[in-house]
Order: sequence, then structure tokens, then C-alpha cells
Amino acid sequence: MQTAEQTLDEILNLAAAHFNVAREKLSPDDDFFKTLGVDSLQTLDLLTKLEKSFGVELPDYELQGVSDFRTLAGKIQARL
Amino acid sequence: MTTIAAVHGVTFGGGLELALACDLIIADKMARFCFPRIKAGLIPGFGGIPRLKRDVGNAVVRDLLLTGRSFNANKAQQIGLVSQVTGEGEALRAARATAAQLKKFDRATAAAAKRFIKPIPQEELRREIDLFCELFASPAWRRDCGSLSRERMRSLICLRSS
Repeated sequence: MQTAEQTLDEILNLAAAHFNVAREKLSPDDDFFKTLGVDSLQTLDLLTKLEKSFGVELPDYELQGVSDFRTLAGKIQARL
Repeated sequence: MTTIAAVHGVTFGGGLELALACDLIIADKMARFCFPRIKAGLIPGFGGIPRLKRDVGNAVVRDLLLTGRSFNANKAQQIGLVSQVTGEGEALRAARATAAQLKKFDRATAAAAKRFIKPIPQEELRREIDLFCELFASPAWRRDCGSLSRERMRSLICLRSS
């Protein structure tokens, strides 16, 4: 099973690709709503991609209040 | 006539109910489905629950209706809600190809086949609309969304057999 750091790294790469921003502009503790300038509907698209990439199902109520990549990675890691 | 829902993006609430009213649902891989109304103190009121019960297992129905969570197209296919998942942006093309296939066959034969599709219990449709109207007229909902009366709400909802 991959480590939490690997999961975090993969999420950052996916988010950068999905929202077409340079990977270097994202850091683990960024508030992704502010950094990426996205809304909740756009984050649903990212959620779909993350579920597919990690092969997990993430109930969106588990993500309420989650706004940084590190915490998001923890939620995904818990389901691997 | 056989109806096909070509679904992409966020397909929540009434959008999901509309898709469920169709004979086939073809979703692009980025589609996402949800019945979020419980979050607003409501239930689906346009045949969503009876049709969901028709199509998927009861454990999933309970999960989706009681949690109000969303699920992706692959999950929708796994649970039997969606018959085809396509690449992003490809659902309409796939739906048209499916429609072209359906057109090849005798309509009466297709109608006969459809008669075996599990019917929606009419009483459940009526019960759903009654419950929806009761909840819609509740103080909690009224506080948030104005003062549509139960009678006015009922007149806005046109109940037809599936």
C-alpha cells in the first residue's frame, strides 16, 4: 500500500493537471478553494477524478470542512 | 417509444429524477449523481424514490436517500442505475448511436419487451408526492423558501404514469 506522502503527492499532481496550474504553485496546506479559485461544483469534478485514480469511494459528507490537500489526502489514505 | 438520458456533469435532484424516468441512462465518466433534498428537509417528489427502488438494491437506496451523498458514474453503473459509461463529453454521441440501434427494430416488439420492465407502483408515486407536499408545507421548509401552500404545490406537480 502506498504511503500518505505518495497519496498527497498524487493528489497535488492530479489537482494541478485538472485545474491546469503549475504543480509548484500548490502546496499541501493550501486552501484549495482559495489557491485554485474553484467552487464546490468544480471540486466535485476533482472528487470524481480522485475516486477513479485511487479506486476509492469518497462520501462527500466526509469531506465537509476539508479545504486543504493534506487533510484530503488523509481521507483518501484511510480508504486505501 | 424508448427514451434515453445522456448525462454529463452534476445530475442532482430533479435532474436525476428526469434521468430515472427514461428507459436507458448513458453517463459520461465525469457525471455525478445525488438526491440532496434531505439536506433541505425534503424528499424527491417526482418519482425519484419509486424509480430508484426499481433500479437499485435497497441498501443503496437507503444510503443515497438518507445521507444525500453524491456518487460517480462508475458507481452508478455498478449499482445498476446506468447502463453505459462513456468518455468525457461522449454521452450524447453514445446515446445517439444507441437510438440509431433502437430504430432498427419493430416498435411493437420493443413495446412488448418494455412491458416486462418492472412497473412503478402507482400508489408509491402518489405516496411520494403526498409526502413531498407535506414536507414542502412544513415550517422548516417554509422558513427557508417562502410560503407555497400544500395545495399550490400539488397543482405544480403533474403526476403521470411511467
